[in-house]
Amino acid sequence: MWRTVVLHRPSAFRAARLVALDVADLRIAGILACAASMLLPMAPGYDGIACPLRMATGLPCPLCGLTTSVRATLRLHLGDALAANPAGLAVVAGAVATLFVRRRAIALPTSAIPLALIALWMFEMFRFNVP
Amino acid sequence: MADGPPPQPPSTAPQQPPQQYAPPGAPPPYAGAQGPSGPRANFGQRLVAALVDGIILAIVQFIFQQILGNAAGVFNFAVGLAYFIYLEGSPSGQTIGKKILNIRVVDFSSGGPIGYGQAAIRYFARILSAIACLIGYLWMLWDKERQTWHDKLSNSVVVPTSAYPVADWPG
Repeated sequence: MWRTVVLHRPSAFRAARLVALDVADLRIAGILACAASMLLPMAPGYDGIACPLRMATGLPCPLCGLTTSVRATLRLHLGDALAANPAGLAVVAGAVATLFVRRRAIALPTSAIPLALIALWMFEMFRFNVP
Repeated sequence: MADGPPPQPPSTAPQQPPQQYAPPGAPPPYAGAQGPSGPRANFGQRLVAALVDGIILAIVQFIFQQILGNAAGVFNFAVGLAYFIYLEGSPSGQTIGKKILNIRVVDFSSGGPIGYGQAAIRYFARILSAIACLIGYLWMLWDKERQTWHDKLSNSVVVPTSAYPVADWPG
Protein backbone atom coordinates (compact mmCIF):
# COMPACT_ATOMS: atom_id res chain seq x y z
CA MET A 1 0.00 0.00 0.00
CA TRP A 2 1.27 3.44 -0.93
CA ARG A 3 1.60 6.11 1.66
CA THR A 4 2.57 9.69 1.32
CA VAL A 5 6.02 10.58 2.57
CA VAL A 6 6.63 14.23 3.36
CA LEU A 7 10.26 15.24 3.18
CA HIS A 8 10.89 17.94 5.75
CA ARG A 9 13.74 20.17 4.74
CA PRO A 10 15.13 22.32 7.54
CA SER A 11 15.11 26.06 6.93
CA ALA A 12 18.92 26.11 6.91
CA PHE A 13 18.85 23.76 3.95
CA ARG A 14 16.66 26.16 1.99
CA ALA A 15 18.61 29.21 3.18
CA ALA A 16 21.90 27.68 2.05
CA ARG A 17 20.58 27.73 -1.49
CA LEU A 18 19.76 31.42 -1.64
CA VAL A 19 22.13 34.33 -1.52
CA ALA A 20 21.11 37.92 -0.78
CA LEU A 21 22.21 40.48 -3.37
CA ASP A 22 22.43 44.10 -2.26
CA VAL A 23 20.14 46.18 -4.49
CA ALA A 24 22.17 49.39 -4.02
CA ASP A 25 25.33 47.61 -5.18
CA LEU A 26 23.53 46.15 -8.19
CA ARG A 27 22.13 49.60 -9.04
CA ILE A 28 25.60 51.19 -9.00
CA ALA A 29 27.12 48.39 -11.08
CA GLY A 30 24.25 48.42 -13.57
CA ILE A 31 24.25 52.18 -14.06
CA LEU A 32 28.03 52.15 -14.37
CA ALA A 33 27.89 49.43 -17.03
CA CYS A 34 25.26 51.36 -19.00
CA ALA A 35 27.16 54.64 -18.71
CA ALA A 36 30.48 53.06 -19.66
CA SER A 37 29.03 51.30 -22.68
CA MET A 38 27.62 54.57 -24.00
CA LEU A 39 30.54 56.85 -23.11
CA LEU A 40 33.59 54.72 -23.85
CA PRO A 41 32.97 54.51 -27.63
CA MET A 42 33.03 58.32 -27.71
CA ALA A 43 36.61 58.36 -26.43
CA PRO A 44 39.16 59.25 -29.10
CA GLY A 45 40.94 56.18 -30.46
CA TYR A 46 38.50 53.75 -28.82
CA ASP A 47 38.71 50.34 -30.44
CA GLY A 48 36.85 48.15 -27.98
CA ILE A 49 38.01 46.94 -24.59
CA ALA A 50 40.64 44.27 -25.01
CA CYS A 51 39.95 41.23 -22.83
CA PRO A 52 43.16 40.38 -20.93
CA LEU A 53 42.26 36.67 -20.87
CA ARG A 54 41.74 36.58 -24.62
CA MET A 55 44.96 38.49 -25.25
CA ALA A 56 46.92 36.17 -22.98
CA THR A 57 45.41 32.81 -23.92
CA GLY A 58 43.26 33.27 -27.01
CA LEU A 59 40.23 32.16 -25.00
CA PRO A 60 37.35 34.61 -24.57
CA CYS A 61 35.94 35.23 -21.11
CA PRO A 62 32.23 35.04 -20.19
CA LEU A 63 31.89 38.82 -20.36
CA CYS A 64 33.54 39.37 -23.74
CA GLY A 65 31.24 41.52 -25.89
CA LEU A 66 29.35 42.89 -22.88
CA THR A 67 30.06 46.56 -23.64
CA THR A 68 28.82 46.07 -27.19
CA SER A 69 25.79 44.16 -25.96
CA VAL A 70 24.78 46.73 -23.34
CA ARG A 71 25.21 49.54 -25.85
CA ALA A 72 23.11 47.69 -28.45
CA THR A 73 20.41 46.97 -25.86
CA LEU A 74 20.22 50.62 -24.87
CA ARG A 75 19.76 51.46 -28.55
CA LEU A 76 17.11 48.72 -28.79
CA HIS A 77 19.15 46.71 -31.28
CA LEU A 78 18.28 43.53 -29.45
CA GLY A 79 19.50 41.15 -32.15
CA ASP A 80 22.95 42.70 -32.11
CA ALA A 81 22.91 42.59 -28.32
CA LEU A 82 22.07 38.89 -28.24
CA ALA A 83 24.72 38.13 -30.83
CA ALA A 84 27.45 39.90 -28.85
CA ASN A 85 26.61 38.65 -25.36
CA PRO A 86 23.14 37.78 -24.03
CA ALA A 87 24.11 39.13 -20.61
CA GLY A 88 23.83 42.67 -21.95
CA LEU A 89 20.04 42.43 -21.96
CA ALA A 90 20.06 41.14 -18.40
CA VAL A 91 22.40 43.91 -17.27
CA VAL A 92 20.18 46.64 -18.73
CA ALA A 93 16.98 45.01 -17.49
CA GLY A 94 18.53 44.55 -14.06
CA ALA A 95 19.81 48.13 -13.93
CA VAL A 96 16.34 49.47 -14.78
CA ALA A 97 14.68 47.11 -12.30
CA THR A 98 16.91 48.23 -9.45
CA LEU A 99 15.61 51.78 -9.91
CA PHE A 100 12.15 50.58 -8.90
CA VAL A 101 12.90 47.83 -6.40
CA ARG A 102 12.21 48.99 -2.86
CA ARG A 103 13.81 46.02 -1.14
CA ARG A 104 17.26 46.37 0.39
CA ALA A 105 18.24 43.01 -1.08
CA ILE A 106 16.97 40.43 -3.49
CA ALA A 107 17.56 36.69 -3.32
CA LEU A 108 18.93 34.41 -6.01
CA PRO A 109 19.81 30.74 -5.92
CA THR A 110 23.46 30.48 -4.91
CA SER A 111 24.38 28.63 -8.08
CA ALA A 112 22.46 30.89 -10.48
CA ILE A 113 25.22 33.33 -11.38
CA PRO A 114 28.09 30.81 -11.56
CA LEU A 115 25.92 28.66 -13.86
CA ALA A 116 25.01 31.69 -15.95
CA LEU A 117 28.71 32.56 -16.27
CA ILE A 118 29.49 29.03 -17.44
CA ALA A 119 26.69 29.26 -20.01
CA LEU A 120 27.98 32.63 -21.19
CA TRP A 121 31.48 31.25 -21.46
CA MET A 122 30.22 28.40 -23.67
CA PHE A 123 28.38 30.96 -25.78
CA GLU A 124 31.50 33.10 -26.21
CA MET A 125 33.61 30.03 -27.06
CA PHE A 126 31.10 29.21 -29.77
CA ARG A 127 31.02 32.83 -30.98
CA PHE A 128 34.79 32.96 -31.31
CA ASN A 129 34.96 29.46 -32.83
CA VAL A 130 37.13 28.14 -30.05
CA PRO A 131 37.25 24.33 -30.36
CA MET B 1 45.10 49.72 17.74
CA ALA B 2 41.46 49.12 18.50
CA ASP B 3 40.03 46.42 16.34
CA GLY B 4 36.35 45.73 16.09
CA PRO B 5 34.81 42.33 16.61
CA PRO B 6 36.18 39.69 14.25
CA PRO B 7 33.95 38.68 11.34
CA GLN B 8 32.31 35.38 12.01
CA PRO B 9 33.03 32.72 9.40
CA PRO B 10 29.91 31.03 8.11
CA SER B 11 28.47 28.34 10.30
CA THR B 12 29.09 24.80 9.21
CA ALA B 13 26.32 23.31 11.33
CA PRO B 14 23.79 21.85 8.91
CA GLN B 15 20.73 22.56 11.05
CA GLN B 16 21.65 26.09 12.18
CA PRO B 17 21.51 28.99 9.73
CA PRO B 18 24.52 31.28 10.30
CA GLN B 19 24.07 34.57 12.05
CA GLN B 20 23.71 37.30 9.47
CA TYR B 21 24.74 40.90 9.79
CA ALA B 22 22.09 43.57 9.65
CA PRO B 23 22.23 47.16 10.89
CA PRO B 24 20.49 47.61 14.24
CA GLY B 25 16.74 47.74 13.79
CA ALA B 26 16.87 46.85 10.11
CA PRO B 27 14.65 44.11 8.76
CA PRO B 28 16.36 40.99 7.42
CA PRO B 29 17.54 41.57 3.84
CA TYR B 30 15.52 38.72 2.39
CA ALA B 31 13.82 35.94 4.25
CA GLY B 32 15.63 32.66 3.77
CA ALA B 33 18.62 34.12 1.94
CA GLN B 34 22.14 34.18 3.27
CA GLY B 35 23.90 37.51 3.66
CA PRO B 36 27.38 38.34 4.93
CA SER B 37 28.39 37.21 8.40
CA GLY B 38 29.50 40.72 9.37
CA PRO B 39 29.48 44.34 8.17
CA ARG B 40 31.03 44.81 4.75
CA ALA B 41 32.09 47.74 2.59
CA ASN B 42 29.67 48.18 -0.26
CA PHE B 43 30.45 48.08 -3.97
CA GLY B 44 30.31 51.86 -4.38
CA GLN B 45 32.78 52.50 -1.56
CA ARG B 46 35.23 49.96 -2.92
CA LEU B 47 34.88 51.29 -6.46
CA VAL B 48 35.54 54.91 -5.48
CA ALA B 49 38.46 53.87 -3.24
CA ALA B 50 39.98 51.95 -6.15
CA LEU B 51 39.53 54.99 -8.41
CA VAL B 52 41.24 57.26 -5.90
CA ASP B 53 44.16 54.84 -5.53
CA GLY B 54 44.34 54.48 -9.30
CA ILE B 55 44.50 58.24 -9.81
CA ILE B 56 47.21 58.65 -7.14
CA LEU B 57 49.32 55.88 -8.65
CA ALA B 58 48.76 57.20 -12.17
CA ILE B 59 50.06 60.64 -11.14
CA VAL B 60 53.15 59.16 -9.46
CA GLN B 61 53.80 56.85 -12.39
CA PHE B 62 53.37 59.72 -14.86
CA ILE B 63 56.04 61.66 -12.97
CA PHE B 64 58.39 58.66 -13.06
CA GLN B 65 57.68 58.29 -16.76
CA GLN B 66 58.63 61.91 -17.39
CA ILE B 67 61.83 61.65 -15.38
CA LEU B 68 63.05 58.18 -16.33
CA GLY B 69 61.51 57.62 -19.76
CA ASN B 70 61.46 53.99 -20.86
CA ALA B 71 63.23 52.83 -17.71
CA ALA B 72 60.23 53.85 -15.62
CA GLY B 73 58.45 50.51 -16.07
CA VAL B 74 60.25 48.74 -13.27
CA PHE B 75 59.88 51.72 -10.94
CA ASN B 76 56.19 51.98 -11.72
CA PHE B 77 55.65 48.31 -10.94
CA ALA B 78 57.59 48.70 -7.69
CA VAL B 79 55.60 51.78 -6.71
CA GLY B 80 52.28 49.95 -7.15
CA LEU B 81 53.57 46.92 -5.30
CA ALA B 82 54.94 48.95 -2.40
CA TYR B 83 51.86 51.16 -2.18
CA PHE B 84 49.40 48.31 -1.77
CA ILE B 85 51.55 45.95 0.27
CA TYR B 86 52.72 48.61 2.73
CA LEU B 87 49.36 50.29 3.23
CA GLU B 88 47.03 47.27 3.12
CA GLY B 89 49.46 45.22 5.18
CA SER B 90 49.77 47.95 7.81
CA PRO B 91 47.73 47.71 11.04
CA SER B 92 45.15 50.13 9.61
CA GLY B 93 44.71 48.11 6.39
CA GLN B 94 43.92 51.31 4.53
CA THR B 95 45.24 52.73 1.28
CA ILE B 96 44.62 56.43 0.77
CA GLY B 97 41.45 55.64 -1.18
CA LYS B 98 40.17 53.34 1.53
CA LYS B 99 41.00 55.93 4.20
CA ILE B 100 38.97 58.57 2.36
CA LEU B 101 36.06 56.16 1.98
CA ASN B 102 36.32 54.98 5.62
CA ILE B 103 36.85 51.33 4.80
CA ARG B 104 39.71 48.96 5.57
CA VAL B 105 41.02 45.47 4.82
CA VAL B 106 40.94 42.96 7.67
CA ASP B 107 41.67 39.27 8.01
CA PHE B 108 38.50 37.22 7.50
CA SER B 109 39.29 34.83 10.33
CA SER B 110 40.60 37.15 13.03
CA GLY B 111 39.26 40.60 12.11
CA GLY B 112 42.77 41.99 12.61
CA PRO B 113 45.36 43.35 10.15
CA ILE B 114 46.26 41.06 7.27
CA GLY B 115 50.01 41.71 7.48
CA TYR B 116 52.46 42.20 4.63
CA GLY B 117 52.48 38.58 3.46
CA GLN B 118 48.74 38.41 2.94
CA ALA B 119 48.85 41.90 1.43
CA ALA B 120 51.36 40.65 -1.14
CA ILE B 121 49.11 37.68 -1.99
CA ARG B 122 46.20 40.08 -2.25
CA TYR B 123 48.14 42.35 -4.60
CA PHE B 124 49.10 39.59 -7.02
CA ALA B 125 45.66 37.98 -6.79
CA ARG B 126 44.24 41.19 -8.27
CA ILE B 127 45.69 40.02 -11.57
CA LEU B 128 43.39 37.00 -11.44
CA SER B 129 40.44 39.20 -10.48
CA ALA B 130 41.07 41.44 -13.47
CA ILE B 131 42.05 38.95 -16.14
CA ALA B 132 38.56 37.79 -17.13
CA CYS B 133 37.02 41.20 -17.82
CA LEU B 134 36.97 42.03 -14.09
CA ILE B 135 34.73 39.10 -13.12
CA GLY B 136 36.85 38.63 -10.00
CA TYR B 137 36.02 42.17 -8.88
CA LEU B 138 32.34 41.87 -9.77
CA TRP B 139 32.17 38.62 -7.80
CA MET B 140 31.48 40.60 -4.62
CA LEU B 141 28.08 41.57 -6.02
CA TRP B 142 26.77 38.02 -5.65
CA ASP B 143 29.14 36.53 -3.10
CA LYS B 144 27.60 35.71 0.27
CA GLU B 145 30.53 37.28 2.14
CA ARG B 146 30.87 40.15 -0.38
CA GLN B 147 34.38 38.99 -1.29
CA THR B 148 36.22 39.50 -4.56
CA TRP B 149 38.55 36.78 -5.81
CA HIS B 150 41.58 38.55 -4.34
CA ASP B 151 39.76 38.83 -1.02
CA LYS B 152 39.16 35.08 -1.05
CA LEU B 153 42.70 34.18 -2.06
CA SER B 154 44.16 36.35 0.69
CA ASN B 155 41.51 35.36 3.26
CA SER B 156 40.49 38.98 3.78
CA VAL B 157 37.38 41.12 3.73
CA VAL B 158 36.86 44.86 3.28
CA VAL B 159 34.85 46.37 6.10
CA PRO B 160 33.65 49.82 7.17
CA THR B 161 35.74 51.58 9.81
CA SER B 162 32.54 52.39 11.69
CA ALA B 163 32.46 48.72 12.69
CA TYR B 164 36.24 48.16 12.78
CA PRO B 165 37.77 51.45 14.00
CA VAL B 166 41.30 52.46 13.05
CA ALA B 167 43.51 53.92 15.82
CA ASP B 168 46.00 55.69 13.59
CA TRP B 169 46.99 55.65 9.93
CA PRO B 170 48.82 53.82 8.51
CA GLY B 171 49.54 52.43 11.97
